[in-house]
Amino acid sequence: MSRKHFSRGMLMLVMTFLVILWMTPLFITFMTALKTQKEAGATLPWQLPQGFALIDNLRWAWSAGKLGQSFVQSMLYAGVGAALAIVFASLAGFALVQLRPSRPFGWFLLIYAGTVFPFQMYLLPLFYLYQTTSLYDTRIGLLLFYTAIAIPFCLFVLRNHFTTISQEIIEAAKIDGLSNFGIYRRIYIPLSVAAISALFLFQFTWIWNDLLFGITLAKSADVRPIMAGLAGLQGIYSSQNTPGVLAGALLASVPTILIFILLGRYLLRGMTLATSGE
Amino acid sequence: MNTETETAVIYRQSPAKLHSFRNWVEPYLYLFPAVLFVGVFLLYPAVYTFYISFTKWDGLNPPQFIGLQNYFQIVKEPVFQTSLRNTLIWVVATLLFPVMLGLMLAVFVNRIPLQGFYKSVFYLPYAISATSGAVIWGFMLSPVGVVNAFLREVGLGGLARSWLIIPPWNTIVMLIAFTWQTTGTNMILFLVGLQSIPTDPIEAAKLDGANAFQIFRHITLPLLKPITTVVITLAVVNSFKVFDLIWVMTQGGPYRSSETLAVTMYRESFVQFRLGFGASIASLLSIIVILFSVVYLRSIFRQES
Amino acid sequence: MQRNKVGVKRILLLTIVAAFLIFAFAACTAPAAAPAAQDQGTAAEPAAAPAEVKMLELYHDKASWADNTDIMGQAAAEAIGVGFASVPFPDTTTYQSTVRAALGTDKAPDMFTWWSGYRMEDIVNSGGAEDLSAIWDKYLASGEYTPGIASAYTFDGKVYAVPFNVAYWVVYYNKSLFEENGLQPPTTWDEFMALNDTLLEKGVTPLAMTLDGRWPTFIIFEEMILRTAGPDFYDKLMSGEAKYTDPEVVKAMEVWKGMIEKGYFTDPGISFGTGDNAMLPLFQNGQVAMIPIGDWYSATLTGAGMEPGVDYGAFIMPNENPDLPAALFFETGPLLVSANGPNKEDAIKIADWWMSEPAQKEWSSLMGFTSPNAKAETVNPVSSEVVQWIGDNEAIAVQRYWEATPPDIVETAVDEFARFMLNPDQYMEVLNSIQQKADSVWADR
Repeated sequence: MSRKHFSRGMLMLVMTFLVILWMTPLFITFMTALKTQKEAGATLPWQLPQGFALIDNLRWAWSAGKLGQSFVQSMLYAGVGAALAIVFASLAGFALVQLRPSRPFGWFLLIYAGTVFPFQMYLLPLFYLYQTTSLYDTRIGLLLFYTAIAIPFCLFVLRNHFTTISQEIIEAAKIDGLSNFGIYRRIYIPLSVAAISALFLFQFTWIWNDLLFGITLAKSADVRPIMAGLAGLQGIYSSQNTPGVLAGALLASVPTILIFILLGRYLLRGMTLATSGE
Repeated sequence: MNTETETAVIYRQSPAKLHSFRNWVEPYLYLFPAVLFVGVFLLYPAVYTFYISFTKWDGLNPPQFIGLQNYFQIVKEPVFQTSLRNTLIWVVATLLFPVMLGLMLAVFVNRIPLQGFYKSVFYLPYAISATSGAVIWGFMLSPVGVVNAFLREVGLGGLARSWLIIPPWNTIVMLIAFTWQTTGTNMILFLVGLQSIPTDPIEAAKLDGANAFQIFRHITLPLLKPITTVVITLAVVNSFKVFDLIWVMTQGGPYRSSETLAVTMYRESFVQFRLGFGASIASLLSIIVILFSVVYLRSIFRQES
Repeated sequence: MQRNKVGVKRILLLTIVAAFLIFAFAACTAPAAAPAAQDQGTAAEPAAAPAEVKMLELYHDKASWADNTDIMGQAAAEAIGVGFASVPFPDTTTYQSTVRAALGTDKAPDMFTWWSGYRMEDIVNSGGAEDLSAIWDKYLASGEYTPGIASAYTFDGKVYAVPFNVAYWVVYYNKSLFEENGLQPPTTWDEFMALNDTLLEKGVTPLAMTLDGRWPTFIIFEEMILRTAGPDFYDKLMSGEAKYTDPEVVKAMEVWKGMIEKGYFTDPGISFGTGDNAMLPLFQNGQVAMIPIGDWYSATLTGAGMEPGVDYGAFIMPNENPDLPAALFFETGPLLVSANGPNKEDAIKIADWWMSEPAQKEWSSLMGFTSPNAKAETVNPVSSEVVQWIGDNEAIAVQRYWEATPPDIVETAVDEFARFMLNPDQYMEVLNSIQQKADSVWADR
């Protein structure tokens, strides 16, 4: 009995230590983002700030660092991109499960193959494709790509999910005279709301966090997504305005942190889907 | 709303031949957008890169077909050897730290209250994106950064150094940053696994007098195997792909000492403009990743059936 | 328990969303030039051009020059009725790949800055650059320019660029620090070494050296070659006639190594920027006495409030071998016109205007540069001293390392020099591996 208490106490101690270790970088970042540039230079990082410069720093990152524009653009890419991907993937998934084209598994593999390559594989041709068409450095260009790259995984999850939908309901709907599109819209989609919301959050986060394609397919501040903006900010200003850059890093994380805190359960479900495809 | 009934009506009225053609074509209409998007933006580029890997191309003049020369060249380049070594270090270290630590944390957290709190704490670094994480760690590790300030403050100033420019420290500290960011996801996945394990065999073993470690080793771990496979493959695949963190923290430098294959490909293609050579690295990386993905897909389909 | 958790979450949600919205609103409504944001980075909006004036695009990767470039674009609009706006790229990697990919298409930039010499070669070979020889003929005939600069842009007898900036590579020194300690800029190698020792005794690091940004590692290397082996050998090394493993190079590396070991250089980990541990503040506070760099750096120094001739001065690094001729490095940043650009004719007009005396006067006074146009006198007294020195000593101007030898060798070499800076003992490995690269590059050509 006492040994159990002892080991449990040890466990709590270890966990407390790890929690502190894990939180320190974020805590210090936050602390520094609260300071003015001068103060950050003059004080030790873990010393409490004298004033409250967070708003100024955030404002600097937002306007001077041009993260504001990128922020709004990334909202568009992540929100619309994830939504479109889900629409297209669900249509395809519906076709594979319900409409039975010839060789459904072949079609599935064809689309899913889009996700097995490391991203480096796409870079070069995409870059030249975008340059020769007029897609380079346009919002629509980035949106199209982000939609495309989210489709395979969405299809993977939705196809698996659709197979669990009971055929009895569908037969009943057919007797009621529902067309195929009707079955898709009235039965498949409503029955998949949970999976779809999890997927949306998951893909939103992915697109939001992307850096590689952001720096490859766009250059100007009014197209670039947020992470490309942040990396640029780090490159140009890291040694000039540390609190501003750190405030920028926090700013860039606001949506994904919010998603996690508020909708963590759905996200968790998304992760479970990702690994088990249940 | 009306359209649905209307279509249904047309269905019944249309001649049989048209009807069957419609039935035949309909699935493909549903598949079309997804296939189009994936085809144009993902599959075409991937195939094209594979083609480029057999050419010599500087991005300005037309590519010249040179067969397998790029692949032979890879083996000869000293940069590739460093890069491959670093990639393997990343893979092994990913298994050692984020995965092992994730499992350990999951087992611990599963036994104490406030699970939600711990999940949040350890997942939070992942929620802030690799780029933000790299910015934060760049700040921690700069020569006048937090880590050095702390070392000097506690009288260990001798240990302070320019972490990001001295190999092998640059790779080590980036691995620490990576562990910090990714352990949480692994922990959560293991936690899901742990919670789906039936409790009966554990209770039975307890009655038989098995200690905590024995239970973990002989009961929990085997039962956890499906999820472990998934976590390990995912971790391996992702560690092959690590780019953001390294690119923002060191750009693979100094003197290309911290490059991994993903970074080498990017540098060869977009800094040195050896596009064919870069493409051959990308293709090689693809083959490795696809092999691992097959293991992953298999384990999932096995679970399904 | 569960319900309670949801309640807490909901409150948290509302608070965070509210805070976020308030902030976002504040940030959106605040004008871009809010006082808090003014310390740096806020680009001054160029005054809108009159509607009828055509504005071309000038691509470049010198983000901190963007404002001045836009002022020049306005001046062009007023002077010749066609102006330009700058399209700055924040990082060189993206810049190079974008321009290269765009050149062959009809989306080619009207004008773009590049690197001269070998780095321009493949652009010219691909047919992406417009022949600007006619402009040069005009200015050479008027005697405003000397042919030397054109040579860095000349391929097969045709000149493909006008000079965007010309820089001499000097050693900047903290003048007040020198005066306080009764020190003089050195004129011989021995004086230079003695100076370094004196500075060290006073607790000041003599010379700045960094690998931040990757390219700066060649700065000391090229100086060491020029000072120990001279311009002729340097040219041979650049053209592949001499090898990196030759005794001359080995000796240069040994001299450099000796200087590192004596503590003459800063930690190569210092950054290029203006943060606590960056080159500029260290120099400004007198913790580092000298910075070997291109004279475009004077814009940064004056920008930080240092007055040329009062707070800082410049000298040319003396020769280690006294028998060698006076020499220094120069750099010419070219401005090119795309052969496939949509507004080629207008762009050629601008290139012509750019070389003219009024344009060069304005550009060099905006940037504190030395102008290659003989009629545009230099405003910065430190730069004029350098020009004076060149004249007095009949110094040979040598193209800096970055453009003087094929880029494949440079890219390998700058990484290898970084290795050397961190591990001075490995200088032979460093030279061997650069030579290995050089062998394969020269064999390919």
